[in-house]
Amino acid sequence: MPALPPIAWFALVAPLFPLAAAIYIGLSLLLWRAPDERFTARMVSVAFSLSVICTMTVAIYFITHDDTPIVLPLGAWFSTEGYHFESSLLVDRLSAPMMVLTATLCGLVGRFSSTYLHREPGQPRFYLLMSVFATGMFVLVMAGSLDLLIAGWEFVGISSMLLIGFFHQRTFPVRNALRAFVTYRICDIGLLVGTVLMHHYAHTATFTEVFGDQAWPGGRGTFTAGAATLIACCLLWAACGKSALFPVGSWLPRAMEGPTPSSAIFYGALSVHAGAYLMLRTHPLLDHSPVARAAVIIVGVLTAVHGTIVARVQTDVKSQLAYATTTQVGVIFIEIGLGFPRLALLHIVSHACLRTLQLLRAPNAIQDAMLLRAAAGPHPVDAEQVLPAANSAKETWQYHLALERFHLDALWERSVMRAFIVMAESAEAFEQRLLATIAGKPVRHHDKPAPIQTAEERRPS
Amino acid sequence: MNHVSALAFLALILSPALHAELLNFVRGEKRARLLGVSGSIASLLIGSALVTRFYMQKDDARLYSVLSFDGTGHGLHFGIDALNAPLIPLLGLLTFAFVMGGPVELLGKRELRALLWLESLTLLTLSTLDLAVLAIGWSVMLIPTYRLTVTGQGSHSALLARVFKIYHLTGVIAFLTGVFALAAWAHPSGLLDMSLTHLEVEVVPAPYRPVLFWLLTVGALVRMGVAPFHSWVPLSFERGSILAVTLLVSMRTGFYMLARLVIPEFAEAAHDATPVLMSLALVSAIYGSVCALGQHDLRRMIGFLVTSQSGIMLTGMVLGDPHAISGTLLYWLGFATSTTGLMLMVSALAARTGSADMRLFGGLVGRMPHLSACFLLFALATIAIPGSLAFIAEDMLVHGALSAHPLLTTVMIVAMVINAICLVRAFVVTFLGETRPLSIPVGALRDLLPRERIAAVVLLLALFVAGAIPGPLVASQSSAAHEIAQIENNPPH
Repeated sequence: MPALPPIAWFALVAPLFPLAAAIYIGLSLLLWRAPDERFTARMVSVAFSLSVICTMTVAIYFITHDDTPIVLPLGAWFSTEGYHFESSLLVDRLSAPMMVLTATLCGLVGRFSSTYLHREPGQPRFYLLMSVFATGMFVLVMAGSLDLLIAGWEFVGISSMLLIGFFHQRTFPVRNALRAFVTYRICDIGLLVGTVLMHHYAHTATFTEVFGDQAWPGGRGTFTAGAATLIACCLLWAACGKSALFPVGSWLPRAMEGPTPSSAIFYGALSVHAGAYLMLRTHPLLDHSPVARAAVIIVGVLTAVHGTIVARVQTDVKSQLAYATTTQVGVIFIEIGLGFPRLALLHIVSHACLRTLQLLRAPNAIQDAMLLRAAAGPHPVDAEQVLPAANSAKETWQYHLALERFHLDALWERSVMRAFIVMAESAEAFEQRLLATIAGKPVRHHDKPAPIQTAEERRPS
Repeated sequence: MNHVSALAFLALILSPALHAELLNFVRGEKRARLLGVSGSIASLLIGSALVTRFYMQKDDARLYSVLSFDGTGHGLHFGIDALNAPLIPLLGLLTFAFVMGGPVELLGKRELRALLWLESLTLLTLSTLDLAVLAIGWSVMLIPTYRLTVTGQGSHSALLARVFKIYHLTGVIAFLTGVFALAAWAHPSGLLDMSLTHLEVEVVPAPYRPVLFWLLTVGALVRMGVAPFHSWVPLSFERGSILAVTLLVSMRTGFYMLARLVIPEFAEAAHDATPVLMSLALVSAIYGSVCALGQHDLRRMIGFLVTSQSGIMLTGMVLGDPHAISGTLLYWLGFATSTTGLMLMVSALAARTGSADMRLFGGLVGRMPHLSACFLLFALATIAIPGSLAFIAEDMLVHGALSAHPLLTTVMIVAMVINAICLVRAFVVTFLGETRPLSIPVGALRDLLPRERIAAVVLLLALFVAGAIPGPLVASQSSAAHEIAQIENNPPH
């Protein structure tokens, strides 16, 4: 590995602090017992604080020095004849602000959670998943290649799924966690295929080699329109999953079942913008492909329109904020599609900060409003103000559409889920028939689970 | 030095068998388990020493030993090369995990004996370079598996026994017919010298070569559990005693037979059969994953996942791309370990509750936190989370496969995605959600015992350390992958 400039070390060690915290908490939980609550909170806070210091230093360096991208080659993770998994980190105008945003918001939310999750039995698990998420997010935003970006992307997805189901004793959070995971997985096919296509067409997936080493967003790359369209559309599909874009975004409001701090950091601030980050990182592809550019804009418009209409009929604050988030993410995608990457980055940073504040404040805001109302005495509510009457059939139809969230859930269940269930049932029926043919008699179907037996009953005669 | 190596090979193969027979003289289940553990550790250590010696020698691609009967070179041939080098310690590791972490209900003295004999025969199959010994070891290992899998399963054993016999007799008869025909044609020196290195397949008349190829291949496909030869796998997992069958399935000796014997010796026939094999592989990958999605029984679900994984491995193998084959070989190691871990966790759950039906469970994480965490980690290792060996394997497999055949690889990726959804769904339904009332005492739902935890942690360490530092493993498998790809792409005419 060539000698690194001193500033590179700050960038290099920033993800290691949350990683160390995750390893410590994980091993304690697996091998011994849950670490002490106060110690866990402090350790994670210290880890995030150190990450903040490191990322701030890097950002200040970028502001005060020239903005040439810094590539930190970590060597090949593994290599075989003709194929190398090159792992390098890239710190530039795009990743530096995202690093600071990641470290700062994780630190703030970590500090907030020490009070919010006080005496919550799953507190160490929460901090473990937060640390895994922070590590994944750092890897995602600092990745110098699409290969390494996938690693961070996966960590973000897994920790997101587990945090949605944080309250594992309840039915709905767990069901929603599974729903989010299924969406992620189906959309991640796009990232995987896009990466391999990038290797196929550019013979590498390292950003500086594919798009050139100009300061962001100045890269260009050499792609044919077809190749660029294919890769960009694959990446857009992946971004749709992670950023909850139309038509696969219905998991986002359901994800709000998790603890409020994780909702804030994942679905208000960082995870939900990962898709936008991916498109910003690979935006030179859009310069080669008007079709992909149009697709990004259309998806952004549909997401924004869907989000803003549905948000208006939500009755709980977290759902409303979730749809407000998708609206803004849709707008960010429109900006990317229209060719304003700097504006989109600024939008991401400001939106993440605002939404984190709103989500963290939401539970108290309702309580404060109720206290104010109680202090002010009885206050007649005008039904027309809360629920204005529809003036026309068109408005009624719009209202129904918004209430039903554009029927996207039903569409998803009838098309994707139902198709899978029918296929699985048919395959199982075929399997039973095959066994019956071999056995020469009908085979018992397992429509209902067999009753549980005691140890004595199970003992072979 | 050659004699020392030969004796080390003998010690490696005989050590588990010897421990199995010593079990007859031991009283008490605890002592029996201790002896079993020492047997598996002994084979693990001897295997690791031999493999280390192979990696340290720079001048040869194979550590080769002959145990000569008459001093003329005739005798038993053993060898370690890039193909079997990781498999020998892996088998020791998996046996150790089973013996250490297997539930008391499934591991009596008789079962331990069968398990250790199975290890011995598998080691013989993996390390021998003699066609006859290979065929015998490969076929005879079904005896302890059958005894262990079909015994004591009450009303369901009749169906399982019938299915197991039909599939495996078909496979073994096809395979042995192919081997005998091959030996009769291709071994001029007679039965005393049946070394694989001296095989002369070109002596076999050209019209018969595809016939021999398909006989051997059908035997291998049955053992791999590739559709349509797969039904014994989910049924054995669901209704049989799962330890032996998991070891048999995890080591994928059918796949080994393809890589060791069938493809290298019948390269032209394999080349011609690629479309058929590819179709079988993709059907198997998708069919297994879709079937797994519809299952409620955890054991049966994992059985179908094995079928799907076998299909994925076969796809990677027949594509002819060295990176895809390299990925496939790593996939083999990763899934052997993670499937073993998953089955250990499921068998621990089934031993405590008497069932592996997901519909009965829910909310077990509160009562069994370590078991839940280990199941989740094994599931994540199976679905290729970064840092696990499967991540490296899938990355290489998809890279290689997509450049060789983009459309078919997309089907393979879909199978991988469905498999991941199956496993996470199984975790969510079984361990999370509302706690359902069970008809067994709450006290019976104890968490993993220390010995079970040790077994799980050892397997997890193997998976994640190999995934974090995959360089040496990838490099060691690379030459085998390139050799197979070379044969597939340029078959000798």
